[in-house]
Amino acid sequence: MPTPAKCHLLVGLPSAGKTTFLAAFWYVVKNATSHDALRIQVLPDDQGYLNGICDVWMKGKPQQRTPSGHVHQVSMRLVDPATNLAADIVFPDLSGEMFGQQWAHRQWAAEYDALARTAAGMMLFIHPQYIEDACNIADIARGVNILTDGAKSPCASGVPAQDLQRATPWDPLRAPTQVVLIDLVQFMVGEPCWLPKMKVCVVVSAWDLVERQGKPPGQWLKAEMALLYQYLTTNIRTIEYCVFGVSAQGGDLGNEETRKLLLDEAEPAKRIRVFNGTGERSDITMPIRWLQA
Amino acid sequence: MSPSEVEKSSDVSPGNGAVATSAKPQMVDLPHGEALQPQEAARIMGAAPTRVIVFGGPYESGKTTLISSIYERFRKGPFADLCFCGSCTLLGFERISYLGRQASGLARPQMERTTQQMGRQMFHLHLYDSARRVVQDVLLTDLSGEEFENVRNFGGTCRGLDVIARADHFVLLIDGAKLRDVTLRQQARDESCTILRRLQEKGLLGKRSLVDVLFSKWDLVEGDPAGGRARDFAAVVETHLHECFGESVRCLKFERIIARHPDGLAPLATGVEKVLPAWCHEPCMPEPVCRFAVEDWLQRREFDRFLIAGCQG
Repeated sequence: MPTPAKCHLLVGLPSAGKTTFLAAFWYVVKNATSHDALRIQVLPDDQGYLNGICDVWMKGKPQQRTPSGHVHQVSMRLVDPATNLAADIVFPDLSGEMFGQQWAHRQWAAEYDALARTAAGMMLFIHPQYIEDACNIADIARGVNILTDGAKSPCASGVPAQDLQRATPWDPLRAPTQVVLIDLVQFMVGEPCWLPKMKVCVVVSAWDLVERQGKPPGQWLKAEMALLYQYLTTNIRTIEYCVFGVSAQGGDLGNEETRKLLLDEAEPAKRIRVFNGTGERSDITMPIRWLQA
Repeated sequence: MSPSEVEKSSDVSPGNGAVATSAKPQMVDLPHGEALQPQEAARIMGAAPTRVIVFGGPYESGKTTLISSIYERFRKGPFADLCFCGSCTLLGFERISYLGRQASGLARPQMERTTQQMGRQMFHLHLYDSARRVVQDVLLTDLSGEEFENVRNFGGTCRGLDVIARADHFVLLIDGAKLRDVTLRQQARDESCTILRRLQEKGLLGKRSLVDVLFSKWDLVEGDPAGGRARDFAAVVETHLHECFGESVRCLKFERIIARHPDGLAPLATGVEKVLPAWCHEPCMPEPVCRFAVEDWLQRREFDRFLIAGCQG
């Protein structure tokens, strides 16, 4: 008997890797590529969207941006081979722009609101190459000072105060990524959803880009997104979180040599690399299994 | 939340796998995320014990910069043994921090002036004290330079300043830049003395009040070859304020701070780490306590006495 459908939200700003994850995930569950990975019990009638993004993934090409204004609501019945239990899972795949709009314009669609209020978990996608850090002028001045060994000091203090009319107008869409993500989580555990407990699975996509730093995903998050890390670790009453590094493509597709190597792999699922604090696997269903547990 | 209808839903295709739907049907309002007005802040204060910190000082003494620098400091990691645990004014913090960011296109960090027309703006932080293992709501608000001037010059205009009476900590900023200038430093001392006296006479500060005096922009004093004189003068101001107000408020503290060094040569909110924990922990008034011991309360009912007797064997 399947358990009642659980809704897991895929949340992330543009180009965070949500659709690529979903494409690789669909391939794995449809083809049951490993013994312990989740697998699909019954193929859905309408697989057009999933097959489309999966084709792009198999070709080793970057996904087209999910068009703004569309909610691709993906639902599937998955079986865990370890327990043989089936569960219905719903993933609304929204464009990253829509999450940006939620933050900037403080509204979301009523349809999404209904899903959010029943969500069991949330996957928070972060792409290391597309993080808006919102550098402070003072930090840049300090960096210049260090690089020039103090020869260019003082930098900013020597500049007279400028006419504020000349400043580029403030755009909330250029706020730091971590601040936007915190507010998106706050909408779930605070107003308007007030969910009593929420599982948040942070997925650092394109993990191959930061793997060289030698930090486990949790430590990477702590170093790169300190505010989000503090928020997740201190709200233990309402948030249970876990951080995964996921390379759904397996490497940098922009590099022709790497792309060729990845496409040479007979089984595309073997391109996938998933990291958590304990090691590396190629099971992309791990984050969902953690959310389901 | 009342959904506001914008456009009716359409284009829902059947099927089990992926359903594409139009995304502009009805919209639901989310919390605005901007600085709170006092009536909105009252909701937070009603829900949990909340510390209210009010910053006062003349024009350009660095009040809003200080609020922004505290937020910016948390963006880099835990600060003063406190961790960021949430905020319902993230958009507001972002707005006031923007002119210190590279994206503003400015070459020198600046700050938009707080005006009286903006109304009372309160910034919220939900902080976790890792040493004491407690969470604390904090509301930060600043008086505009106009309000400060009005209070200093016209006693009758204190009416909009009830927030000071509610404040757990009143923080007075004295502009360090003025202390370096022999033509301005006496004014700096006089206006700080006058404002404290005025607030005291109006009953907004009193025996229960916790007052911090911060010498802001201390980098200008430290970086000045003749800064020794400014340091000495700051000590004179400190002694003077102690003599005048040390006995009439519960606690009067002094600190030197650098909220935001324009060249980044000092960490953000330098010196604030010495006062921020007290702003979180020390309430102006003691927390309400239950007047009755639970046992006394329970034993008023016959059935409860029976239960307690049973438990005690």
